[in-house]
Amino acid sequence: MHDWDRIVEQRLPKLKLPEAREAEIREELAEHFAEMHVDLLAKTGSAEEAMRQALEEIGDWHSLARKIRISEMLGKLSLRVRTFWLPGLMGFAAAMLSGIALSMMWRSMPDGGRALRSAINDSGLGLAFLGLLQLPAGFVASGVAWYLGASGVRRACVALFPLLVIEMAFTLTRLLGGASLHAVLTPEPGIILYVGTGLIAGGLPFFFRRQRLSVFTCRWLAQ
Amino acid sequence: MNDRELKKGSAPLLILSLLEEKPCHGYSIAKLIEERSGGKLRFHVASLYPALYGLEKQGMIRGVWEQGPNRRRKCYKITAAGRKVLQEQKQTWAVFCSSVERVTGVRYA
Repeated sequence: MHDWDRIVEQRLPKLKLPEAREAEIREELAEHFAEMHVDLLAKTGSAEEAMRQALEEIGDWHSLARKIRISEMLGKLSLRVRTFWLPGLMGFAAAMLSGIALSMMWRSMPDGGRALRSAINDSGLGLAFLGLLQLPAGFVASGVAWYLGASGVRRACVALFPLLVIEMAFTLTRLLGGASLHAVLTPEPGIILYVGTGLIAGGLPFFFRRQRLSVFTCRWLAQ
Repeated sequence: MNDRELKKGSAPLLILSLLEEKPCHGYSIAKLIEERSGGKLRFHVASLYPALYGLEKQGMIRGVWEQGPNRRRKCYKITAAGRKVLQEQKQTWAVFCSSVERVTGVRYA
């Protein structure tokens, strides 16, 4: 008789869950294997072959631990948090951090890069160039939203349109020399303002249409 | 969409449907799915338990420990919220299947 508690204990990585919950999950998995082993033993007639086949079912124990951890973590969150607030805030944070990092890099460019910065500034592209560099941040937001099953990639891309419109407005005001809008959209506060506004504007429709997305979301997140 | 994605997407529907009939523990849920699908659908440990834990956390099923033949095991029961979601998912699935049938001409047994 195999000690399935010990086998699961040895092979399944730490789940990083509360101790009682972790013990419960390990006990349940051990029970599953014990029952499976009895069935396989009856089928194969060999204890070792039955054990091999039972363990083969898992394959990657690390992957199992990760899936359990994710289902435990996401299950705690309400549908609204999972489908709107979490992807929205993660996307917003990713966009903000990358915007600030790019801005700091732009300002503290080493000697070798100063010539390039001067050339871009002189050509009137200066901050518009920074604005264009915000696009990857928008795609990060899209990727996060998709990954969390908020709506699928095409719907998430739609959320980027307001951001793209504001990006274009920012770029045009810089290129055409418009002072009023550009005065608002200057260095860090401006970057935060326009990227944030764009992302929020893009995310709002998802908030109000969340009921229509819930079927897809439940299906994906319950895995 | 490949087989894996289809299976992943239908896991809550399959599990909730079985639990609507009677409470089951994890291993028997996996066996019932395999038996009733004629061996076409198999839920391994790595896909079954994360799905069960997700449904439990969402309040669609509730696990209760009970004594089995040799050791205690966790028996899952569907909740009122789970029944509601199941009805919705059954409707969604029926509409989806009939739509695919109309488009492709494939008849389902």
